[in-house]
Amino acid sequence: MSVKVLSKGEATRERLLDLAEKAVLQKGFGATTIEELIAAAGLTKSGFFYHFRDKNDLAQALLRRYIDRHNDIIDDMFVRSSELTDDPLHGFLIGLKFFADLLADLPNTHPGCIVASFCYQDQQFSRDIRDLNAEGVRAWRARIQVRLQEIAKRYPPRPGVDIEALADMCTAIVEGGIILSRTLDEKEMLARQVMAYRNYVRLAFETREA
Amino acid sequence: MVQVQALSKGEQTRERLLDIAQDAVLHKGFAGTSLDEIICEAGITKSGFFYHFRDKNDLAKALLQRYLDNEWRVFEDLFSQAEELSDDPLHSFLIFLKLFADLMSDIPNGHPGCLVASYVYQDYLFSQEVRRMTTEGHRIWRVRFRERLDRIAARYPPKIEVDLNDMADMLSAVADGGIILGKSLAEPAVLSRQIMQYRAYVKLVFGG
Repeated sequence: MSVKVLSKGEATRERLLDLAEKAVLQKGFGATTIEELIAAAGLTKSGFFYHFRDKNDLAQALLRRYIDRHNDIIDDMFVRSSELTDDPLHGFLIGLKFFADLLADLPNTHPGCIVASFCYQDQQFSRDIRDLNAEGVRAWRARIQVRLQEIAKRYPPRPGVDIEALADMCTAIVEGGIILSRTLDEKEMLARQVMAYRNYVRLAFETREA
Repeated sequence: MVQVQALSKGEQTRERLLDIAQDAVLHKGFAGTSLDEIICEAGITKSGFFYHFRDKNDLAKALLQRYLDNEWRVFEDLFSQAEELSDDPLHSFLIFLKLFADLMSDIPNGHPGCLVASYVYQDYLFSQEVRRMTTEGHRIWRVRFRERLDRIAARYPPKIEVDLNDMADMLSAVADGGIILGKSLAEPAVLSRQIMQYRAYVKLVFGG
């Protein structure tokens, strides 16, 4: 999450990715054209192809950036929360609260997740992009699962709680929350769903208070 | 499950066109699906297609309507099966969730995708009318799940403070999210496991 100064070329590349991400999340990848991106960015065609070999290369860069950003967001939440408490359960709950606050602070309805958008058009993409999509979801699973395992060492999971599925549920609830907030046009919905997941995590482990 | 009724030849063709279109839309997106490929795969003429659907928007609408109707029929059916097995609102909801998870794990090759989610991710391509239909679809699910949670809460006070609307929405969210995870990971079992986790949550909230 560190701020770095981008060179002019990097800034152009980021701008192209921003424009592409917005268009892809509203219309899908198939309906997004290189021509419209070039026009919106005020670039020449060769300017575009300097940054991306073709549309597949653009798709890969979009997805890579989306996954990396979210890995950073997750890591950042948990670094901040671990500074506040040594207890793994409390730390996780604080991290989820930070995450819900971050989502609640978005100016508009969440624009959407590139992983979800791509999985609904998977035949448009090459094998390597589908693999990258799976890798991204696995990276999120692993980051959360490792924390839930730490919690489970101190607080035994209650009956019916499956640690891997509980880890996936964090991603599932965000994906589903994005879809609900967009269909219902209720911006607050996403943060509320993260808080509902947080409630579940509170109940999922045996603590003295429970 | 779904009532079997004899379809006329015209209805059969229409259903077949919708099946082909749905499969294509869920894998390639709406823009990536052409009328020509649907017509070609169905082995009919262009005018045969336009007898059933005025244009691509009309096809989009019919697809979504059928999807919402089918989903609802499946839920109603599972609810009535669960209610036959238990009068208790909590137990029958837990049975419903188990039946739902089992049904999802029985789909060969996993859930092909939710048409509402697919449309949301391409919403600029659709008319206002189609977008309103997706909104209505989710609102109905919220109301129907909420009714059941209300009945449960009346008998079993929640162990922690929960918002029942959020809890009702959570089932839709977990199902939509579980489909996305299952598709992205090529692990179809993820979806039914997510529903079972939601079920474990309901049990913890009301059952203790």
